[in-house]
Amino acid sequence: MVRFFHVARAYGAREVLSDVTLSLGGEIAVIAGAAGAGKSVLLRLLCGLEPPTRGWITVDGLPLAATAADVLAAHRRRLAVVPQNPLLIGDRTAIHNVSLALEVQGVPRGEAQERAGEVLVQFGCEEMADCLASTLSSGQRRLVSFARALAREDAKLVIADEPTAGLDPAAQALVGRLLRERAASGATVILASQQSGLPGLGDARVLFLDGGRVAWDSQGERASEAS
Amino acid sequence: MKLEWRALPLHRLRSSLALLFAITFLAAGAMSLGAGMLADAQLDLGKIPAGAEYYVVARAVDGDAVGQAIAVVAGAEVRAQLRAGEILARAGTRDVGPDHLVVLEVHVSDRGDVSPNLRALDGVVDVIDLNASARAEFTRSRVVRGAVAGAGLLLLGCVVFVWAVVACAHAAGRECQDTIGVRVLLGVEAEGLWGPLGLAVGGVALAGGLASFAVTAFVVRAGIRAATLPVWWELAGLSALFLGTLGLAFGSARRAVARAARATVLAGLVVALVGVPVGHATGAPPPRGPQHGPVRDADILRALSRDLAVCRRAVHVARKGIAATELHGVVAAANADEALLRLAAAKRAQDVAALGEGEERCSALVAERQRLRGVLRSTRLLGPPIKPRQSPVQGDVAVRYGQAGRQPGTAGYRNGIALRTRGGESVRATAPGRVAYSGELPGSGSVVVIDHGRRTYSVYAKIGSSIVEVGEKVGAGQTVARARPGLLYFSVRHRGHAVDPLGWVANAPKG
Repeated sequence: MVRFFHVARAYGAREVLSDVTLSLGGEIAVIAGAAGAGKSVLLRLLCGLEPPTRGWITVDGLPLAATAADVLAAHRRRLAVVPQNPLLIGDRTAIHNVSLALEVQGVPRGEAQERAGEVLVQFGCEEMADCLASTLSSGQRRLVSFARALAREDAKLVIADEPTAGLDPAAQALVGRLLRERAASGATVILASQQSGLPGLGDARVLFLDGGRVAWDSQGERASEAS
Repeated sequence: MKLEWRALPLHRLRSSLALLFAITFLAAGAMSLGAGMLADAQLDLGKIPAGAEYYVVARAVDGDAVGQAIAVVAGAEVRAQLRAGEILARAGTRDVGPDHLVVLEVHVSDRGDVSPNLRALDGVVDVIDLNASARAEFTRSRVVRGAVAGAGLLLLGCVVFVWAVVACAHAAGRECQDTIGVRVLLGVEAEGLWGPLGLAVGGVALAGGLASFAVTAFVVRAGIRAATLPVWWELAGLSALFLGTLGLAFGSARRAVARAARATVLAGLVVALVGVPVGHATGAPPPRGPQHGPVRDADILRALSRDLAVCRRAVHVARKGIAATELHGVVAAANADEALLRLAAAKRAQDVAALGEGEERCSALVAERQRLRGVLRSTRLLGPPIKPRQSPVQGDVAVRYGQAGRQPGTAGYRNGIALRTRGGESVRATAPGRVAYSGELPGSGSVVVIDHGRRTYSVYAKIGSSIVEVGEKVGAGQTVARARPGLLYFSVRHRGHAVDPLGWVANAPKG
């Protein structure tokens, strides 16, 4: 369960997130909004990469702001993160990039490579497994980045920034299906996107950010519709 | 702390580390040489003769008379009178008298050569200058020059050594930026990354330094340099090298890893911030980081203006091109040249489309520039500089900034200072501004808050009574309240944070 309590984040004089309060758990949530609305900042706070200026965030009861660096690192080892920029190590192969996510969790290298190979097959990337990441196209790099994140089967929180960017419709559908499966297994999937809809994720909860505030939450909308 | 030994691609750092080795080798050589020169200077200092020493050889019969005559020479003093036989006996020969000559040991406080004066005395057979070479070699100015040169070389070596370690750590951080970013994102502790990096950089720098010291020691043993360093100098130098290098390398590696992690991970998750799409669309440079919001917008604004100028120029050229094409078309029509006419028509259609696109792009750029100017206006701290500035009352400071709460009864002065006041004394505005608040606040009594612009406010609390209204414009030094006897609370807030009011007043802009 992820909770934001009156979270604000400012860079110098500019406040990019203002008083965000929400809770997410066991569902797919799409953080939508225009460029500069604060989506990526919200994800960065959630990853524990920087603290909020005001308010606090808890992930499964763990307050991120007041936590030591090693605990934050352990928190990130439990996350599956797909950044907007794929962030692959260019002089390592695709399979190595994927297995790295498991190796840092303490999985032995051989086993990690084996599981990484399986995940790459799921993403239809088996042919590029032994290619250096720097030689892959942007779409392929994006898929490998997804594979690296979802290789962590025990991750209870999946975070993806602009998940459809650089993917063709077939790859978007594949990613949508895998994210839905992950949510069905109990994980919380949080996506940041400029679009409110994603292929195969029609029933996802949508939070629309505008000017750093949650301007609209489809959950509240549905609740009001139900009543 | 778990060190991730295999985490960093150290093979990428080969050239950086080789360069580091070379620079640290040279720098440590300079340090060693400088320290040697300092040691030489210290030794030479003790060798500077206090004056000139002479053996004045005289006939034995004139010995006493010569001794008395020598005292006449300025600064000369006869320290001993020896028989020639006594001196010769030092060589093991038998002292057989009587002596024909006597030798007077003469000390002259003047370092100059006075032997001609001594030689001119009656009865003097010869004058032997005992320390002429030492006087020539060990002069005070020469020793000082040596010490200054040594200290300079030592300092230069230290500076280059430190610079090399810091620069190499940061270069290494940049080289491994992608790996660091990915690993931090995946949950590797930053310590595990900067540990190996610091060790690699520190190890290579130490190797360079020690190799240089080893070569220097060899050179000393070979007798090329005059003086060897005292043992404690060597030990102190080596300890400083070890501790300093490792500390510096780890510290720099830590900062380099933090910077690399920020540059990659944060960039990966923040591309959607305001400036970037605009920057990409217009070819503007990418933003430097999220902390530089207003600066980044200003950069983009400048790039936008450049793009707009280029675009307007292109539109102008397109318009001129259309006019030229139309002229060609008219000429072709007049000459009944069907082919040229069709060509001119096609070219005109192309130019018109390009012109339309250019104009559209220009108006989009103008709109974007307008929008960004609005953003800049809202984020930049506009307004004239806040000056002059002055203390609100003349009284002493009773509680300094940051000291509130340390003594009983001072907790109410947090984020500000307490100034002693007399009853009825004028409390003056510290700088020009507009009254933002005037009234009672629970726990603070009467309070006046003045807005000075640039998101800077001054607060005057625990006053007797306010004499200004909200919205009233006040000048620097204008009375805004009457003090009550005791302590006045004075605080300055800049951009939402309290600052030291005395420092703020003292740092008023000049001019």
